[in-house]
Parts: sequence; C-alpha cells; structure tokens
Amino acid sequence: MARRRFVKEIEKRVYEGKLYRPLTEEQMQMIHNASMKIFEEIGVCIKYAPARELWKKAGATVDDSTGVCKIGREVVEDCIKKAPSEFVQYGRDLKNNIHQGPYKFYGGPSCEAVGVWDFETGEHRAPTIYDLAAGIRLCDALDNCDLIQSCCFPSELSKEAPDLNRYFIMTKNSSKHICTGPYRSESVPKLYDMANIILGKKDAFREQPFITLVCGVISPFIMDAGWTETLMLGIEYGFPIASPTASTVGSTCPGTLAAQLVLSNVEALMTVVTVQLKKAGHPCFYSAVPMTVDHRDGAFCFASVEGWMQNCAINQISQWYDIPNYSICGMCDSKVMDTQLGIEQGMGIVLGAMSGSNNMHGSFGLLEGGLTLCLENYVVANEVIGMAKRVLQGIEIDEDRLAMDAFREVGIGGVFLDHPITTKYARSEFFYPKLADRKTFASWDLAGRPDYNEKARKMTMDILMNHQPVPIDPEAEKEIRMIFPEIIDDAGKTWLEK
Amino acid sequence: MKEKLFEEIMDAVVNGETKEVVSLVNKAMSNNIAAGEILNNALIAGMNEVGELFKDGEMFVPEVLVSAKALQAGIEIVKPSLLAGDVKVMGRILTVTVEGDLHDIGIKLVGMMLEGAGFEVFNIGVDKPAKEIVEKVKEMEPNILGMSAMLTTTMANMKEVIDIMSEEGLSEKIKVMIGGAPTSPSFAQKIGAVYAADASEAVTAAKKLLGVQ
Repeated sequence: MARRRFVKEIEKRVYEGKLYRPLTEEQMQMIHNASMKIFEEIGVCIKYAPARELWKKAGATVDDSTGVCKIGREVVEDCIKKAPSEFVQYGRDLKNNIHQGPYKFYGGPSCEAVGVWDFETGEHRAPTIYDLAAGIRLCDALDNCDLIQSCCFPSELSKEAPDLNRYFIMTKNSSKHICTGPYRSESVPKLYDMANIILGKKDAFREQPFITLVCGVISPFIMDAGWTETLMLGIEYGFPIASPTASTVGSTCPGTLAAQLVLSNVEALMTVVTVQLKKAGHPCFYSAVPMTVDHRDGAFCFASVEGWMQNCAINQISQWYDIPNYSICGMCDSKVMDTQLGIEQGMGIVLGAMSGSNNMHGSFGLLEGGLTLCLENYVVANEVIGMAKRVLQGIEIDEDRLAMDAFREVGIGGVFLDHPITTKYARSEFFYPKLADRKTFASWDLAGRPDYNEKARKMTMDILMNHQPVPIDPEAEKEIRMIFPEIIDDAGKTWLEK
Repeated sequence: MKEKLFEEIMDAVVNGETKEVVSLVNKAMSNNIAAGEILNNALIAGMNEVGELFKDGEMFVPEVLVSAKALQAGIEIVKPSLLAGDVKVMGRILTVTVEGDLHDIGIKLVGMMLEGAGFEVFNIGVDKPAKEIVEKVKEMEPNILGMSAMLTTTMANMKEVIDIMSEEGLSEKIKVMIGGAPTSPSFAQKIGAVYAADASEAVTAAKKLLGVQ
C-alpha cells in the first residue's frame, strides 16, 4: 500500500524588509546632493563611445579623449524617475517568476568562485563544469533560493569563449531566473538565440526574459568599454540589467563610509542613467556591492559589519529612489564552514533581509569572499534565509490569533497543545530548521552526537542524488548543441552523473 | 466498498478530522461491518500511520494529538459493540509529578502522546509525596509508572518512590519510567528506572517495556 501523505504545505510568500534603516532622510539627501555635484563638477568616465553619445544627446559635456562626461542633476533625476520601480524577473518556468518591487526580499547565490572544496575528497581545487552544475542544481531545489547565479568559473572552459557553456549549464540545472553576466559582449546575441530555442519560439525571450545580465562599474567612476557594450546590447535584446560597483572604502574610494555611499551612489546611477537614456523604462537594478578593507593588513572584506551596514544603506537609498536594488549580504570571509562562517552568514543575511534586499546575491555557497565554492553551504544558507524571511513575516496579531476562545475554553492551568488554534498555526507561525539540533543533551548523545556540517553534507548529497529540475526539451537541447558546438558533451551534468 | 471506507477512515484519522471520522465510522457500523474490524483495520491502522509520519518528521506533536482525538471519537462509537478479544490491550500508565515540584506541562504532553498511541493514561497530579504515589500504584495497578521532575532538588524524590516500591515488592511487575529536564539516562539507571528524553521517546520506551507494537 502506498504510504499516506500528510501534506500541509505553507503557501510561499514574499516578504518586505523595512526594519533596518541605517540612514536618516537628511543623510540620504546629503548623499544625493554630493552625488549630483560629482555628476556635474567632476564627471564620470564612460569608455564606450556609443554610450557617451547617449549622454551627449541628453546634454552632457563630453570629453571624447578621456571619456569623461559631466551631466546636470536634472538629467540624472529624470532618469531615476524613468527607471521602473517594479518588474518581473521571469523564470524559465513561470512558477519561478520573481516580482521585483520596493522592499521585497529575495535571496540568491553569487558568482565566479575560482576554487572549490571538493565534495568527495575534501581537497581545495579549481572548479569544473560539474561543480557549476551541482551548485545550480542545489539552488533550483532549495525553497529559499529565489534566483540563481553562476557560482563558479569552470576551469575547463576557455577564457575566450566560456559563456555558452556557462549559461547552458545554468539553464539545464534550474528553471529559476538567472542573474549572470557574460564575459564577452558578442555572447549576448547568442544567448538570446539559445534562450529562444529553449523557450521554443522565435523572440519568446522578449516576453519572458529569464536572464538578467550582470555587468560592472569600475571604481572610481569608470564604465569600461566591454561591459558597457554588453549592457547596451543586453538592453537591445531585452535583458534586465544589473551592473554592480564593488568599491573598497579606503582604497578605490576615500576612507569613510559616507564617501563610499556617495561613490557607490554615483556609480549605481551611472548604470541607471545609461540604461534609461538608451531605453526609458527598461528594467534595471540600482546596483552596488560596497566592500571594506581591513586596514591592519589590507585584506578585502566581504563580510565586515561595516560592509553589511553599507549594503543595507544601498538598499535604503534604492528604495528612496524607488528602483529595485542589487547588493550583497551574507557572503563569508571564512574559508571553511566554521563558527566565523555562522556569524558572517547569519548576521549578513538577516541584516540584508531587514533592509529589503531585492536581489541579495552572495548568500549561498560562497566562502573566502566569493573565491571558494562550498556546496554544503547552500543548505545552510537556505536555513538562514528561511529564518530571515520569518523575521520579515513579523508577528501577526489579529482576533483569531489573540485566541480568546481558547483561553476561555481551556482556562487556568490547562494545556493548549491539542487545541485547534495550536494545530491551525503550528506550521505557519514557526520556522522549522532542518539542520539545527534542538533536543536535549541526552537525546543528542543517544543519536551519536550528530555534527551540523555532516548533516548539511547528507542533505546536500540527497538533493544532488534526487532533485530533477524542470527539463529542457530534448529537441531544443539537440538544436542548441548543433548550433553551438563549443558546448561540452558533459555540460549540465554534476559529478554524480559523469 | 469496505476497503474504500477503511481507507477513508484512515485518511480522516491522519488528517485529524473528528467529524469525518464519526460520520464514516457510523456509516461502517450501519453497513454491519464488525466493530472489531473497524477498530483494528481502520481506526488503529490510521493511528499507526500517524506514528510513522510523526517519526519521519512529517507530522508535528499538536497534529498527532488532534489525530488521537479523532481516533478516540471513532472508538467511542464502536466501543459498545466490541466483542471480547477485539481490543488489544496496550497497557495502563500512571503519570505523576513528584513531591516539591509543580511542573506538569511535560508529563501532560507525555500522557497525550501515550494516549494517542493507544495506552490508557491516568495523571494523578503534581507535588505528590512518595507514599501517596505508591498507594495510587497499588490501587490502580498500572503496567508502568511515569514520573516527572523539573528541578534538580526534586528529582531525588523519584528514587524514594522506587525504593518504597521495591520494599513493597511492586518493582517486579510495575516498570518505572522517568523524564524531565534535570534527569538523564545515567540517573535513571542509577535509581532503577527507564529514561525517555521527550514525549515521543516515552511512547517508544513504553512500547518496548511492555513488548507491544
């Protein structure tokens, strides 16, 4: 006889983060004014001529020999208004659509680790296509991972033309929205073609753009030629755009948090202005991932307390401008899954959620400031994000939950454990971690003193053995492999499927 | 027909739908299905599945208790028509919080879980002196005595109860289970009792002690 199921699924909800507000209104106005002065008086550098043309047409003073553009605040402010405050980041499968809008909290991984802890041998080595597939597969399976991103750079791929392989692997292993940038601008039209084949209809991608192109701004104040070309092409083909700037306070930016917010703001707005001048109303993120430096030895920090504060301030400014944000919280500086990692991931993610990270990348699987991939970490991050979402869900107080009837019925000295009110809310009121041990010493001892990381490993293995993403049509895959022969035979497989 | 009805009863027990259980069991009775069969092959069978689902972490404690209530409602209907031999006796358990201790949430939870598993449970209250507990044991003749203590200062009173039971020759036929925050397997062993870390372990331990499934 088939096993009976007791299914009490809790509807997946999206929560808003408005709880952590590091800046006052007055402070944001000061940052804004200083930023506008930079646009007007110092200018910013745009190395791609067609983008400079857009700025020129909008009234910027442009020096083509240096690429420096100075532009009036009214143009910048107009572009801020034109940038949409809400848009959909589509999934390859529509059930995975992300509805972006002010304060909405979504978690996701980050990109391009160059090392990985080998899941089987424990050695630290260069990542492969199998690791990328495994990381994305985990993201697809985990309920609190809302977006995916290319977690590592597979070392088999040529630096010249890695993109089709990367995107193919990601698409094959997840039907969630992909946030990743190509290494080369000429990949953009090819990605568009590949995406259309996958969706099964010519130009279907324009209706269902399931990839956000992530480009970049170089601090201080430079949009480089390659990335800007990619960005402009991306707009033409209908990709939503994120173009984060990762300044480090005290090196690529004056050494105060205030200065870094001004610089990050200018750089985030450079993208917003360029995108809106190219196509008003095109979906783009207000993107900045400010980092700090440990002045004791010059180490870059992804997981410093000031870094979290800064990224949360970025989220707050983006909400002030009413543009979805792309920031980073929850990435770890720790090299292994240890106490440091627990603190970094826990604090970073919760603060990011409380400030309304729309696209909090960096929260899954990346150690060593994003340089090392750790597959066991995905399930851990999934737990932390689950808890962070619970914080945002808040404490709901209404007539039903005040439970006056239950108080009356059961009365003084009674037990409410089997009262209907308890069962009704047993699931929706509480977050149930899958990995944390909450039993007594005696029970824990009896169970063989299970180790947290070991449990995470088992859960990871279980997902990799059993989770099947929504497949790509085999005919579409055949066509893609025919048109793009550079896609490796094993692209899409995890090391378990080699 | 009968199989389908039994499936529905099992579903209703698992989902804790008391009204549904009552109406389905009434339907089964009016179709002249034997009460013993309804009890064992539908109601208890459903509750056994609840136990499995609970062990797998799919069902939570409050949900198990609601299923247990639905089960009880079904049993009430079939009870008058049961024949001798229809009811498998799981065992009688007396629960109590020892002298000096007023905590009873834990022992009540244990009691509910044991009832859900089919045991007959009597809770005699909190702050009971050893002598009074032993008197009750003699009076009610349970298969198991379950004692709870929340404080390190009161857990010693458990030993006193067991000592008196030994003196009176009760230890042979009545097993003792203990639990509560300060207790541990080694303490239980030292005083001659069986330890259970939580309510669900208490069920497992009780079944094991009495050799019932």
